[in-house]
Amino acid sequence: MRGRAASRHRAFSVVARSLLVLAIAVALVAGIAGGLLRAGVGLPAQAAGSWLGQAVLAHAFLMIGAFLGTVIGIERAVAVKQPLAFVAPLSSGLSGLLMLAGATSAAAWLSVVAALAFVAVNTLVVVRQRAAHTALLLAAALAWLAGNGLHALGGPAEAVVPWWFGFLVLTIVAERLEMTRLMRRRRGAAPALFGLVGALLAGCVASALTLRWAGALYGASLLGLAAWLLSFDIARRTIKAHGLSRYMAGCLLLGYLWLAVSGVAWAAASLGQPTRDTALHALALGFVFSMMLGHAPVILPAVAGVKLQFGWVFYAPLALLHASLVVRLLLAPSQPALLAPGAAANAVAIVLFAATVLGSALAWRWSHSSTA
Amino acid sequence: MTTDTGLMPVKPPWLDPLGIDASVVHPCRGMDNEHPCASEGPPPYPYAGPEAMRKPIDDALRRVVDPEVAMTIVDVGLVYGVTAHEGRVHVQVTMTSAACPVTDLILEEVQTELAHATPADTQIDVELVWEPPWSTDRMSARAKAFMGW
Repeated sequence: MRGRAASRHRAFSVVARSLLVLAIAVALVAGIAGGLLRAGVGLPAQAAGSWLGQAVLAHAFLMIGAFLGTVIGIERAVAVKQPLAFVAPLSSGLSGLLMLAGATSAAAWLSVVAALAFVAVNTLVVVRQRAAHTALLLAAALAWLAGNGLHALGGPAEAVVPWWFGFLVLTIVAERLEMTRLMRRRRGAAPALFGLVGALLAGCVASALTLRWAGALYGASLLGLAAWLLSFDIARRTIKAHGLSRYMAGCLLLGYLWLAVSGVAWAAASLGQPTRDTALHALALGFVFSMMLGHAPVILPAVAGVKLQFGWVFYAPLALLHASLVVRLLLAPSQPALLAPGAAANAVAIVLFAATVLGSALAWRWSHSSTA
Repeated sequence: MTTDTGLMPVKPPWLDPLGIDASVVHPCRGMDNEHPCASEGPPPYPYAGPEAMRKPIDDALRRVVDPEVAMTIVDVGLVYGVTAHEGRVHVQVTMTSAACPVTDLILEEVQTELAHATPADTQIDVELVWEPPWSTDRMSARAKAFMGW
C-alpha cells in the first residue's frame, strides 16, 4: 500500500512540476510578447492567432499574477515544506494558461483561488514566526487577493494595478526587512517603514475608489520606500564584498533607484504628465526584475535543484536591462520614437538572462561531472 | 551523502573570464582585515570533542557563506554548537527566518564542507534548531563592524 501511495505521490509530483514549468514559461513568453506589441514593437508572429491578442490585453495579469505570482508561490511553498502550499502556484500558473486560451472569467476567478491559498500559506508563516517581516508577507498576499478580487469583479485597471504592484513591493520589502535585522536599527526606522506601508495600502484603497489624490499618495509612498531601503538595506554593506554577494547587492541598489523613479513618475502621471509607462515599468522591470536577476543564482538551486556557476557573465544581462531602461523610461517620455527600441532591448535583456542561467547551469554540471 | 573530491572544478573560460567563481572562491576574498572573514580566535559556539578536530571543523564551518549577507554562518552566529565524538560530528545550526527558501542549501553545504574536513567514515549530523531564536547578539564583533555597528 505504502509503495503504491508513494509512487502515486511521485507521479503527481512529476505532473505538478511539469505543469508549473510549462505555466511559468508560457506566462513569461506570452507576457513579454504582449508587452512588446503594446510598446509598438512589430512581431513576426503578429498574425499567429488569438492567444497573442489575449497576451496584449492581459499583459499585467500574465506578468504579475501568472509569472511572478507563480514563482513567488513556489518559493514560499518550498520554504514552508507543505505540499498543499503548492495549490497557490498551481492555480496561478493555470490561470495564465486559461487567460491565453480566452477563458478570461475562469482565469480571473482561478487567480482569486490562488491568492486565497497564498494568504493561507502566509498565515502559516506568521503562526510559525511572529515578526514584522512575516506580517508584511501576509499583507502582500492580502494585497494580491484584493487585486485579483477586483479584477475578477471587472474593476478597471486603475483600481486593480496598484494592488498587484502592492503585492510585489510588499513581498520584496518584507524579505529585505528580514535582512536589515543584521544592521543596527536606527530609532524611528521601524515606525517609518510601517507608516510608508500604510500609505501604500491607503494609496491602493484610494485608487480603487478613483480618488484624485490616490496616485500622488501611492507614488510618494513608493519614493519613501525607496529612500528607506537605500538607507537601511544591508546591500550598502555587501556591495563591498566580492563575487555573487556584490552582484546581488548591485541588483538591489539599482532596483531601489528605479523604485524611486517609479514613485516620482507615478505621482507625475496622476497629475497628467506622460509618465505612465515609466511609472509601471520602472517598478516592474527596474525594481522587481532587477531583484529577480539578483536572486535567481541562490533561489533556483533552492527551489528547482538547479545549481549555477556564478561568473562575471551575469553582469551582461544586468547592464543591458538597466541601460535599456534608461532609454525607455527616462528618454522615451520626451522622444516617443525610443519607446519601441527600448522595450525591445528590455526583452532582449530578459532573454539574455535566461540564456545566462541556462549556460551557467550547464557549466556547473559540466565542471562537477569532470571532477567527480 | 555523496560529496565530490574537493578538486577545483574546471571552468569554461567563456563563463568566467576574470576567474571569479563563487562556488570555489570566497565572496569576501581580498577584503581588508576589518571584514568578518578575516576573523581568527576561538569559535563563538560551544565545542565538545578532541582538540585536534576543533580547527578543521571550525575552518569547514567558516567556508559556508550566505551570499546574501556576504558572511560565514559562524560570523552571523548561526552555529549553536558542535560535538565530535567517536566518528560522529553533530552540528546545531539555526536560520534567521522561517520563511527562508535557501535553508536546505545551507544545511547541505555544511554537510559537504564537514565531509571534506573529517576522516572518510565520519558520520555527520546537521541539525536545524529554532531555540533559542537567533538575535544580533550572536553576531561576531567583526560581523558587526562589517554591517556598520
